[in-house]
Amino acid sequence: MEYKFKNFIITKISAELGKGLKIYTRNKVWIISDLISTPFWVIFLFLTLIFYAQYLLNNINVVTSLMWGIFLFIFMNSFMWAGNSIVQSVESGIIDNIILTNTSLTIHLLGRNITGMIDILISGVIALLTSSYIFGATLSISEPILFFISLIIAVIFYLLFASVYASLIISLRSPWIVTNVMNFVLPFLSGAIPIQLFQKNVADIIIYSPFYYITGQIASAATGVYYVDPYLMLLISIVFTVIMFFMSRIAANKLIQKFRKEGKISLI
Amino acid sequence: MVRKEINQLLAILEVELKNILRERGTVGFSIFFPILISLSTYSVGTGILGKPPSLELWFYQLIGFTILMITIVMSASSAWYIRQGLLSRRLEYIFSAPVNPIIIIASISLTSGILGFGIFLTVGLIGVIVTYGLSNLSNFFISLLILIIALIPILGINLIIAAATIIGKEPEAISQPVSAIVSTTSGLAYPITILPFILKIIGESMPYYYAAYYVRSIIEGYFNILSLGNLPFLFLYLIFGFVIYRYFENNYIRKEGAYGI
Amino acid sequence: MKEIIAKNLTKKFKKKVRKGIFNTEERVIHAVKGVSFEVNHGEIFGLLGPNGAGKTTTIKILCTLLIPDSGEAYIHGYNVIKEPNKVREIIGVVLAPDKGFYERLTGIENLVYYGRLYGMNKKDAYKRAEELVNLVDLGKDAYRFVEEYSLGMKAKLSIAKSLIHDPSIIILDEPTVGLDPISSRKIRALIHDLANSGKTILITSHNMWEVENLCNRVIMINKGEIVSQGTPKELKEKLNLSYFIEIEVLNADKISDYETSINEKGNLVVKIETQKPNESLIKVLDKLREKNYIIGSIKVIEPTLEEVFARVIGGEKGN
Repeated sequence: MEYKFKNFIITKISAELGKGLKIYTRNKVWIISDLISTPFWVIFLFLTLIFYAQYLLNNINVVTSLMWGIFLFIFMNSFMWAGNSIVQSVESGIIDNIILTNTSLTIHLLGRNITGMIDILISGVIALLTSSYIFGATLSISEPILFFISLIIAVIFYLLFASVYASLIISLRSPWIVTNVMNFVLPFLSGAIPIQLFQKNVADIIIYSPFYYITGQIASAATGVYYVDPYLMLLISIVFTVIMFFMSRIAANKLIQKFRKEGKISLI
Repeated sequence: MVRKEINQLLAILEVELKNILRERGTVGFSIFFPILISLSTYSVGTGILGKPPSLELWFYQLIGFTILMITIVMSASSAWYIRQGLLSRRLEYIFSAPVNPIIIIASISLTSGILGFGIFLTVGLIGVIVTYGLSNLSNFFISLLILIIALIPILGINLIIAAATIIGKEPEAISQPVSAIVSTTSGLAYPITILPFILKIIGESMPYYYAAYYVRSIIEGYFNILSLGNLPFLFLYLIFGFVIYRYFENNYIRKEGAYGI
Repeated sequence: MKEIIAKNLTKKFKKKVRKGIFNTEERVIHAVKGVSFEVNHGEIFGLLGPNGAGKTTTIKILCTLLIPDSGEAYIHGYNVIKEPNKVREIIGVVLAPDKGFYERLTGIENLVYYGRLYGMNKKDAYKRAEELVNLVDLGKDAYRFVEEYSLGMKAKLSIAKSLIHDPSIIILDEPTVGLDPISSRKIRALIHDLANSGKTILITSHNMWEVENLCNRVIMINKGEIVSQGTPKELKEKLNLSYFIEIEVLNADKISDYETSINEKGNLVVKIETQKPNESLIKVLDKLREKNYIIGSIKVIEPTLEEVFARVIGGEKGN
């Protein structure tokens, strides 16, 4: 029988997504683990962040802002770990075979990212419900259209960012350390912890972070509290996403080039 | 007989310690992480309050995060040991060798306990000097002794995690909920008095809360010797852990040959 | 047509070697030093050498995963350095037979996944995967999770994966390493069938017997350099290795001109070591016939490639 081979990106993307979904649904222990862990982590994060100003637990606006902060923490966390998963692809010898099929690393990471997105959906909803039930946060979204637009932009941005990140950490001896540190640094740089909570001078520094325009606008659209004009934020977030698109292509190409030269997969 | 088992324990301990010491990144991160998180929340506190909060509060969280780090390292290592043993079929060799598997699990936990002790020594020393100067150093060294005793019941919980990994297969998925529950309920990053009643009870029934409480109270000088009365109760975890692990080992690994599946 | 051309390939690696707990030292390893060879269409070509000889590095250069420091290589006329995408479309590769799979997918799901990455639609990929699991004799095991596979099953799956996009050139790096004799035999038979169907095959191995039985031509590589090349027969002849001739004589208890022994049937066996088996055999038979000895059986034992290898590598070490 004659088989047809077409180098369609869409075929590769659907192969990666299909694989990611299959593996995710087969890891039932992980799903149960997430269902049990998430409410506890949410309570832990809430109370840890508010430790120095426990009186704010009675302020519904602060509690609602923190709820979205935790949602965004879960959001970014999933993509960072998806990026980190490249290490498993290298260790299991899958990456060599992926290169041999002429598939880009960004597409390959989609398989893991789809798992991340399901995680965001499940854990994110649990986080929102826990915050609402335990701490009394408001679940309504202030500007739904802007919220969903900024969510889509953020998904695309972090998909691309995950592949750039993967290219950077792939050669490290203990990449999980960097991922863990980044998971605690990013919420500060990205406005996941609402910058309205900070003093003005701190907030003025955070708005120089590109991540703020990607993640912070989701929180702002949800709560309706803006520090920067919403349309300016939207515009800047689109610009940064386009830049990230080119960065991911450059990083993936450089990575493969370096891999072919040195025999080990690394960018730095 | 006991001498032979001590020798086996020391041999495994030596190999595992060498292994850990060669993972410089992991050791460095374990020390750096509690400092990083406590400074992060301290800066959030500073940002919210508009002025730096008291250093005693920072120290409270630093000690809590350090103990959290130690418990995560300890519980994850036991789970990983079982999983890798199953996948690599190393457990088959171990069961066929004249070594009691509990000795192995205990020495693995002990290795991570020693690593944890090192983490606590380094991070705690920095925290005490920054917060209290040199005046509370003697208290700090006494707290190290109590920490060692308080960590022993945690071995029992690690054995339960190892037993669960025999069935669940995924070490991180098994140890994650334990870490989440421990972190939330044990008063590591905030006082458990602010928790809902049921979570408070969970926290008070586990050894982690007491480890943090003993250490903080000794360093800060409000330790009450009567509080040690909880320790015998906590050692029940150790017995419970041994029994459960043995049950799973005999009924699943040996009877059903669950290796690597 | 020359399907594979390697011209003067060289490759060095820098490796950090741990000394003690905290110190490291950088070492330069010359993995491949000026390797050249050509593989014809439909040929099974062997790269033979001990562990660390440079076989895998050479293979990785040819399958576009490594760029050589110097030299050139062509696959089906495409330059492996400048046209890697074209090369990848026409080669099927087995690198480490036990790696490259998702453990939580079944064998067939892994094959379908790779098929789709090569651009097949789902239906075709599934059909092709089913064909291949039958070809490599995986049978119902193809529907089990890869995490439950033995090494032999993974090796078979690896070969199936290398064929998923029906490549004309197949590159196999130690495909039978660690396999039991029955699995190895099945895989060798499969490689023969593939060559008979017109595919060009480059195989590496440190198993001399395997290469001798499989390959039309062989190069021997040691410490990154080619130390000998030719057909297995040519290699043996080049080194003037000894053949052993054993002639069973049915009506004699002793023959003084030759070394003899008694076989399990109790008959006398004349033993001769020679480098020219044809001439020697005729001479000995003439002599024996002159004396009216009755010949029971004749056995000519050829030198093995293993002996060639031992001689070549041993000679190198002696130097």
